[in-house]
Amino acid sequence: MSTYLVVRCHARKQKLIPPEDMRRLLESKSLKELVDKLVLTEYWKKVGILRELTAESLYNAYTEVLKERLEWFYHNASKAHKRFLREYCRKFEVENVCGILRRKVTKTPVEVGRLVMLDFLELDYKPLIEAETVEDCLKVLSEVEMYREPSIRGLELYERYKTLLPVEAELKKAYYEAVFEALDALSGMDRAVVGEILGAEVDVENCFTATAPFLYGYSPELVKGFLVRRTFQVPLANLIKAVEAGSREEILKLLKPYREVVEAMLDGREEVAYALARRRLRKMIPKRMPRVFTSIAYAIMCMRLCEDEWRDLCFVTYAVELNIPREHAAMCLICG
Amino acid sequence: MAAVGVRVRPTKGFLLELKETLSMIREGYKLLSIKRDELTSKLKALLDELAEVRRKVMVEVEDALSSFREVYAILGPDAVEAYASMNRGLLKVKVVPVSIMGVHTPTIKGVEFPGVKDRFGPIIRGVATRLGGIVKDFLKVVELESRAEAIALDLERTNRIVNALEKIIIPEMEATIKYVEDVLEEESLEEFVRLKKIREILERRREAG
Repeated sequence: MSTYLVVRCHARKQKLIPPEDMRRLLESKSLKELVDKLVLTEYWKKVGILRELTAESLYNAYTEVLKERLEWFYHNASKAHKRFLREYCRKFEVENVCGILRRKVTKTPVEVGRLVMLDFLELDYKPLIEAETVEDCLKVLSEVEMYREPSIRGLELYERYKTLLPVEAELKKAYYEAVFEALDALSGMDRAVVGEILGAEVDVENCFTATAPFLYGYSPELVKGFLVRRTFQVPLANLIKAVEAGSREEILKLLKPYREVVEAMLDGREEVAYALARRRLRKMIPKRMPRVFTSIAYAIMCMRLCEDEWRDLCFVTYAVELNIPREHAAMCLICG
Repeated sequence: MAAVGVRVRPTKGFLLELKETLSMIREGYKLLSIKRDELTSKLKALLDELAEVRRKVMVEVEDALSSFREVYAILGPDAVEAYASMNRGLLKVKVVPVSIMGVHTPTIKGVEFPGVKDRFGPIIRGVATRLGGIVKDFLKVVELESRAEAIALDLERTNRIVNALEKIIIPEMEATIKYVEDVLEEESLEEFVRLKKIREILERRREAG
């Protein structure tokens, strides 16, 4: 049992930045002002000591806090739950691998500080970072058990299409397969609650994928291969039909459970669609929290809140640096 | 006396030649004036169209950049740079010259555009598509600007010629013609007086003899 972890999560949840404070951070006129406003948060110990205030240095500082938090969650969980947490946190590993692959494309050195490298995940980043090309990187990755199949398939697709998109899709698919399999490590109620949230996450990913042929003329056959099969509210058959759909109305009908998200996508406002989707996933948490008040699912939802906070803070930092109009930026906040 | 680089010979032949040249210059002046007026109206229409297209493009660019900044803030510089460098294909354009009142102006046709299809991930693909669309609008702006520039340059040249004809060449030619006519008239009067005197001398000699 992870009783200690869950009890501590109740306390730690109170330390998260509330949405109104996040919006206040967005009103900062400079990075200095933004950092000053973080004085009462857990981020202060990292950002308060920064000599040079740039969006990148702040991003790295937030990432360090996120890493510490995720590692804390993992190390305080019971052995039985650690398997699931490991698989769940692999999303950051997948994001790191995608980030490294992107650096191989741009032929720029990997900034280790930007990676969410968690001490409980066994992937050795050194050979990946040292690899010179995307192909080399994928060959190194294929030696890792978890990524063997997706990297071999990804390499084939990369050589054919010369884009990272199918590689990223393969890695994400492998991640979702693994995390859904690891759900077995959770008890009945926890499995149901976490499964719903992960299912909704997959649905949203699939909605973004399925609209690509209609909106941007992507090849339907390629896009069908990107779809993650573990769906929740939108059946796979509907997603396949959406890939081939020829009208806005048809797509909206097929992806009805995520209407507002899909509408934003169809209006060409994908950044808003992304925020709406994350917001929708976030709204699922408070509704489910009372059902799992004393179990590991509560801790997992806290981890999600920490992740959302990290993403929002990174967004706010870049929004302040790029001087994005506040009313526009507020629409992209996950916390709403 | 010299008129517009021509050495003036006060002869009837030269006067006829001058009058013919002046008539041709007047004809040219009339044609160039028509060309000037036509080019002015074309330039005005082009500038109006350019202002309209530029205004539309500016709104689109502003909107796309605003979205781009949001996407950049969400995805971070790594992802944006990587997707940007993954973009394949070159922008290929075909420039066809079109003659407006004898002025060669370019018409730009996009033959090949760098595509976003199958390359960009969620969130960034929307803004990439919009920015790609803006490239087409930029081509229109470039076409209109080059046309306006070519027409404006020719208009400037035409205007200078028309002004030179109107203010310098034609008045000078008219003055030269008048001068030659005056000289010829004077010569003819002189000749007449000379003949009269000779006749008088001859008559006086005949009477004396």
